[in-house]
Amino acid sequence: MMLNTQVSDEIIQSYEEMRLGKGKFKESKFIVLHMEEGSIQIDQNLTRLQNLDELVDKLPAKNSRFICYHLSFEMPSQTSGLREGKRTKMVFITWCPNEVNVKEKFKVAATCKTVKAKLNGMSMSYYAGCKGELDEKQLIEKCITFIK
Amino acid sequence: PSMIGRPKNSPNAVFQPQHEFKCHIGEELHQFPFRYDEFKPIISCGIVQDWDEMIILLEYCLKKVPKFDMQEGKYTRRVVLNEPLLNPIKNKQKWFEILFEYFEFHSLVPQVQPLAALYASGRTTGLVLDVGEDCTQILPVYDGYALSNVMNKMRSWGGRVGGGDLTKFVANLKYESGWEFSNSGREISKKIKERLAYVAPNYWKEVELNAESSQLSRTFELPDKTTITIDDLRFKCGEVLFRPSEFLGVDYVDGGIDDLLINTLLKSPIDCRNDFSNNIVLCGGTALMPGFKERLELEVQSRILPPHLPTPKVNVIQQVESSYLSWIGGAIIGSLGLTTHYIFSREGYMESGVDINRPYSLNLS
Repeated sequence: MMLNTQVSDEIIQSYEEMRLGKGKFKESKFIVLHMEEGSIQIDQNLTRLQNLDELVDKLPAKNSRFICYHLSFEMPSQTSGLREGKRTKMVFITWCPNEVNVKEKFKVAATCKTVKAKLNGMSMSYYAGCKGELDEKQLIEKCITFIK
Repeated sequence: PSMIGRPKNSPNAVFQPQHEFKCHIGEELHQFPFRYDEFKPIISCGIVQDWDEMIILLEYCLKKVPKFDMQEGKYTRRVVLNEPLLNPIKNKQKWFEILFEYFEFHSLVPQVQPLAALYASGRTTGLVLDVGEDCTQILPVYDGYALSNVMNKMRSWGGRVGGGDLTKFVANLKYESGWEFSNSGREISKKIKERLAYVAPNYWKEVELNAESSQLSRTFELPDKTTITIDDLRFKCGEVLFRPSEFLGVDYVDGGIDDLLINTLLKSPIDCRNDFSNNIVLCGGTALMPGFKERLELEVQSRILPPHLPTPKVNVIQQVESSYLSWIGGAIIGSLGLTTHYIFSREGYMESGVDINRPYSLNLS
């Protein structure tokens, strides 16, 4: 099931800039998107923030957001068979707290796939329902099981 | 409840139904519950037993929809058919036949209940545990795709577990301890179940606690103002879900709900298991029973250990809307213009008959 939504070129362009590390979004760690009446927009206020902890504090408690997160981490040395070193992955995070009403939740779920299909190179998707579920450590943990 | 009752030939006009359908439907049954020869459920385990009665029920429901005119609406409306898992093909074809030929709706979107419930909880990945009135079903979904080879439905030789069985269980136990409710007992037993029953984290501890003290007992007022005391029934009722073979005396091949859940987790691919165990979405009225969520978390955590589950983290999601989650989901599918794989139109049906749903019967998502 997919809900048709407009994903503007601006979003795709800034996502590519972040992923490839050039242009205006070279330095940013994430892009925050929000849904508005059949189209997806960049949430400028939240995108401007510096790191994930700040973002988690500011995320709305009664509204949903999509976050494209540029995760970079050191491969732990214990993992056998895989070389150590720095890895970067693009993570698609769905922020949908329990307080959001059911119709909105349904829209989030149905839009999620449409947006993901538009953005190239997403290696992982993650669902966060409360602020405790969203921190870098958990993302890295999940990413490592995924790489194996 | 999806039930229809017909009054006996009584001269007393009070008991005669007021509307044109000549029978009492659903909640109306509870107003004069003692006047019926029989009332049997129309749908059992998600499968329609009596199609004539089903048509009456549907017509009755459609009459209750606000701003819906049967004559005008039927050619233009799209219907979402929210069906249970593993719905037999015969049953599906009959649904198509009724909705297109008898009701003449414009088009039809078939949809499985657990998937609708999962979307309504805002996720595209997760494991849905639907404990309904008369059947229990589990469906793992990854990124919107239902893993149809892993899905599970509770089976037994001649029975299944759901809220209705708990009600019957309560009624039987009360009967054993000297209380005989008449036909209306179903309603009373249901109330006892809804208000007082809970799931104990540890059954045997609860039994001991109950033998020592009376802190678990509660009183319940019957309609005729006498009160009865309910003690061990409270947690026994919840335990039925976890050990149905012992309590209901029917052989449940798959064991209780916890066994079913664990089996499904173990059958699904190991890469997905953590995603599923972190997103177990409950739906159905029985899943709202106090303590049910905690008990499930406990069972899964203690019985699947790290080699089988990469990180031992279990998260069960229970929502306020849980009891109608799959129906709300279905309603939203209808109201949003979703692109689903399968939309069947009436013209298509008229052209190729019931075989139109062949490709869809083989697939799920």
